[in-house]
Amino acid sequence: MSTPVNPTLFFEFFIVGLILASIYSLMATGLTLIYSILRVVNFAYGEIYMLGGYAFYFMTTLFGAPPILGLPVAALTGFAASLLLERLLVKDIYNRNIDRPTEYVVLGTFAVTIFLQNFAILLFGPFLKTTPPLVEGKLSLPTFSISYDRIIAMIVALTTLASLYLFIKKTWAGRAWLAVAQNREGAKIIGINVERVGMVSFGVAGALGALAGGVLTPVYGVYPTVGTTPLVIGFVIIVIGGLGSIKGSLIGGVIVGLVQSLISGLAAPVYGEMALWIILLLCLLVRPSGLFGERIREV
Amino acid sequence: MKKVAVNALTKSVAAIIAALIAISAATVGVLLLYGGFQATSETIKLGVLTPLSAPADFTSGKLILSVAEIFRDYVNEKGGIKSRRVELVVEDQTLDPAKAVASLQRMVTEKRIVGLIGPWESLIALPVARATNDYPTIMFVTYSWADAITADKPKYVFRVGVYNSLFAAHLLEYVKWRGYKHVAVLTEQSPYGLGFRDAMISLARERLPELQISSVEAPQDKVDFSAELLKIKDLKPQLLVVAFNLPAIAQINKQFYELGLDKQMEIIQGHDWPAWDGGKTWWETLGEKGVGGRYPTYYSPNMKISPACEDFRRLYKEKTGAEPVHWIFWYWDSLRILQKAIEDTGSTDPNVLASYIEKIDMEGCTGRIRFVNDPTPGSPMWHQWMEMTQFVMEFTELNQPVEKTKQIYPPP
Repeated sequence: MSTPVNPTLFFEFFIVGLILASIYSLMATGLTLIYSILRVVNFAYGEIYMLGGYAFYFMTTLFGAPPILGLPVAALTGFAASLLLERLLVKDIYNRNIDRPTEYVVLGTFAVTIFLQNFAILLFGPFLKTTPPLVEGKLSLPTFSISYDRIIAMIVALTTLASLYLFIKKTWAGRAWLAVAQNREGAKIIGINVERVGMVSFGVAGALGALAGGVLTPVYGVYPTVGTTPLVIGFVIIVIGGLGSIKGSLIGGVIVGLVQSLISGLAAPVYGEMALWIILLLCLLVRPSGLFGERIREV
Repeated sequence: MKKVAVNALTKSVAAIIAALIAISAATVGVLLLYGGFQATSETIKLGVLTPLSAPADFTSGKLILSVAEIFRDYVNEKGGIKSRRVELVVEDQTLDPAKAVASLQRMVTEKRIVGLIGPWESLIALPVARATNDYPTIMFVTYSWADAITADKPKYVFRVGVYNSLFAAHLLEYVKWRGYKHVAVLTEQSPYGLGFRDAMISLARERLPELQISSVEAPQDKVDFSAELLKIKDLKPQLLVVAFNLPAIAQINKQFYELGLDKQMEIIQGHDWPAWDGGKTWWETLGEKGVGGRYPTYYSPNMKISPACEDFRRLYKEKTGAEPVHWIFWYWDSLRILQKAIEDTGSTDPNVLASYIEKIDMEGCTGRIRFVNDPTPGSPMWHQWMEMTQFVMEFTELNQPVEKTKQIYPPP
């Protein structure tokens, strides 16, 4: 005889799942942007997230800056690091001088990942570091509590996604980015500086990733391998939600967050992890471009 | 005729000398090849096969390497072992058992190490321990908790530390003392986590049959454990035991308080991670919530550290900035055991050393070092040091360093 599901417990898992959804969407935003605009897989994205976390940590603990100042510093750190990565490693793939540009970027950014993780162990040490909360305290619900930091992360996620969506749809620069994403050669023909678009969008994606790292340091802490989760979850979200779709990134995040929370809680955590990958596989089989993805048009 | 006879004699002598040289060369070659004789070298090589990079627990690996480096420098300053300088051969254990065994093979056959410390996760320590049958070298484990490491009755492996069943048995004493009837265990999905949980359940059946144990498992690389903690909240245990390694265990503690579970149950750590960096990560992660936090350990500030280890304690504090935790002392003990064995036997042959170490009786940092060698099949009490006491310590003030924590159990 099966045990009936406790409605209170279901509600708790649902709320936790929604918060997790926004956190995951925040983690994935930068990755979505890079892949949407540049069709580039950046395996070092997780380490940009990690660098943002450390920048936030050192600003608030070593320099004693208020947390609200730590966030722009984290974003700037991510922007600078990503720009450097783009200039050194990524830009050459558009010159068509490189055989197998996709594999080149994958291997190159993967190597950067390993380097940065181990460099972080050397420089910052292996232990987890946390900062004081952005806002002290928690919201008490009838049966459990949610820290204000998680609520802030949720607000930052939704604001970031909304801002990015509006930027892409409503501004000239954003439409230029879309043009490059849809048809690079066509964008060049109509006078868009595609190299500058690539450079700036890569940097902005890094800034978003590092901002996520900063905002989530009071929640999860920072340590040299903290970037693995955002990278993996980010890829799952962009596959499920849709390549090139910011709306898809949000919906993908909701699916991932809810599935993980509900199945982990109501069944077992191992099933929660399995369910994610089953959904990913089904998506790839049935709808490879994702729920809201656009088909790539090639010249 | 005489000239012919002299020539014949000369040739015979030459042939005999040549044969003697050939036999000697062959004998030396055979002995070197099969290790029955260790060629004298300038240095004694100690292997350190320990996690030095992600995703393995590099946090602990770095500390283990520090111990080996301190030992090398300390011993060499005093003239080495049998006038031979100590040299370290260091390799990253990783989380790939095949790679770790290959490292062992290389260290034993090419580098000729005399002893090995460092394999950490039981996922790695167990296959490496088994591989010492093929690549003989003395190996010490301290904090790799799988029972099977010693239950397999390895010839060259010695445990100066605890194992899952022993740790669980000790912790059950605390549970009994507290009078708890329902305990939940949140474990990582690894040989350590699941082994600890299984040991606790099976020992509780024998010793505390009225105790209910609920178990929730999760992957060790998660960052958010809200779902698991809410599930545990719904089970309504009186005590939560967390059997995870860093960094997950720190995150679990933080999220435990964030979700308000501290109003309903006590939480106790599955091991003594708060002590590993003197308490810094504990306070940084939990702040005020850390006051009242408890963890089990095999060291109490009330214990006396042997004078033989005071130099090490000082050197370790200078190098790392933190007091050594007990298992760090146990690594120091392991290296001292090896040193004493080489000095007393005059040999670096693993068979000679193993026979000696089985019967060793010397002062350790936190207790007398004597090994129990129970030949009962399946018993982990083989090449096992047993003279340790588990304490439960409590943080009583904000930002309290680990050495000032209060001993709760056994009641002092």
